[in-house]
Amino acid sequence: MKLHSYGVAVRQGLQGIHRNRWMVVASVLTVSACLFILGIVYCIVINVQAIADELDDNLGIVAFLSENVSEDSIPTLKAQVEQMEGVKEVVYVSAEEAWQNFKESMGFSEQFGKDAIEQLDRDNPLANSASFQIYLYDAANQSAFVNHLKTLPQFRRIRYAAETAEVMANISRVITMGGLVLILLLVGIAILLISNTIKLSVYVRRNEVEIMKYIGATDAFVRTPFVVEGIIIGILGAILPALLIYFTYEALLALIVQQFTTSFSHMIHFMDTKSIMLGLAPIFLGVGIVVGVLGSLFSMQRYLKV
Amino acid sequence: MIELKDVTKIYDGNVVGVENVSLKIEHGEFVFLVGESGSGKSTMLKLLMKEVNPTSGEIFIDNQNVTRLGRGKTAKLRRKMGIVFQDYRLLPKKTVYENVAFAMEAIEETKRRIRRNVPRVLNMVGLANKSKNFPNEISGGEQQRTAIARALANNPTFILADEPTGNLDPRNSDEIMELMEYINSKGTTVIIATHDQDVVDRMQKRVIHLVNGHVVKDAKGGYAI
Repeated sequence: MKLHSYGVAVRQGLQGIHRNRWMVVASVLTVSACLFILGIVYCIVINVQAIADELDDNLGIVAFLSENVSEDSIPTLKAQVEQMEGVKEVVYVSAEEAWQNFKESMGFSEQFGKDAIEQLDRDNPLANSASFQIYLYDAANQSAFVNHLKTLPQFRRIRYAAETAEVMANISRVITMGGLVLILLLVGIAILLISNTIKLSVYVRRNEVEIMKYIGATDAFVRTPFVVEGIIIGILGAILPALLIYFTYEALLALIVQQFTTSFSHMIHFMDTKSIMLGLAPIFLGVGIVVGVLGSLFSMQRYLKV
Repeated sequence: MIELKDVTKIYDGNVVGVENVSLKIEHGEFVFLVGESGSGKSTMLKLLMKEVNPTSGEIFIDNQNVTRLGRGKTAKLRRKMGIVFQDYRLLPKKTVYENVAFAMEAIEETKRRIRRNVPRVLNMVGLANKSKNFPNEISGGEQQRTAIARALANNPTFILADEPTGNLDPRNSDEIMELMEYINSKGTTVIIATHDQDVVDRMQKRVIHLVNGHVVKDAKGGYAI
């Protein structure tokens, strides 16, 4: 197709939109509904994943070293654990560090007298608490990994957040799967509706299409105005839910922060509206355009056979 | 040049379109395809404009075997042909000028060439003064002349016309035939399917007469076998 023909195609596509605007409105709304639900699922999945990741990061595996492990052998042991499959990071926490961390996190210095603390500093209550904090790439592998660690004599006790991690992973999986099924269904409906709308457009112009084919117009030339129409419907259908998601999410986020400030906010961080929209906008646009193109192509097949 | 080699077209349900037709049409010829309804005239035109493929046999156009063509090549081939229908098939919402320009837009001609060529063909068919009228504002003869102008717009090698005078009175029919003869005199091959005996008898051109899908006569002269 020649370059100047695209201008003609866009003009004809816009004419088509104008000619059956009510069908176009119906199609746009269907695409919007479909993308809106996609948007909701996306927001939930992204947040659940973010929270799960955050928990994974905070709740690594803590493996306490056995008493008979000497200071000298610790670097070798650390390297050995680091070599294991799926391990992202290993941090060695000595007994002294463990005590310091504990003190700080509990705010001991304010509650007890200075003398008492100094006494405890000299006689570390966590003397046998040297440990490795082990972080894995994927929280789902924790159980298997922990079982392996338990067979090693160098560790006396292993603590990990297996259940939390697995529950989060499961929630994320269920929502993703359920959302995918719903979205596929809606995308199918949207394609069907767009294809019907454009069929109407093709029907109105069927004489023109037929004459074009007899004159020797290429399929691409005949098709492009209708594809343009489909793309416009797809893009319009993407804008509406994008705005809707933007404002709903913003409002919801404000509400959550306001309601649960004290108990929640420092534990769980929700994604901010900007990063949600940055991820969602290209998806909306992409799905809208693909749905529009597919819908228009399906509607054309019959009329191109002249 | 058009050449049919032993061409047979059988439609679904064993309906015979044409059977074992072999013929040649040279460049610059003026040919009538005649016969009763259902004799195979329309099938012949459809085979030539690649609306249907033959069941057997081969078709050559300008030494290219066009028996079976892909969609892209079919489009290219059709640019060599100007097609004229009995019912004109003009676009009612476009003016005479726009209807003719549409043919050039469809094959992606530049605006400049369209502006140059459309007045030329409208002049040729005698409609220069009606270029701004819509089809419903002009007579049947003028509508058919618009359709012929559209067929001529892309400088075709062949004009294929299916009953071009079928909806017209004798006076308008004569004018259309005069126009066809004029176009033919400029070197364009003209192939007209018709069952209008008077017109054929008067013109005394090559007549290919079909009966039940078979060529029963192929000679210069009148309609009668």
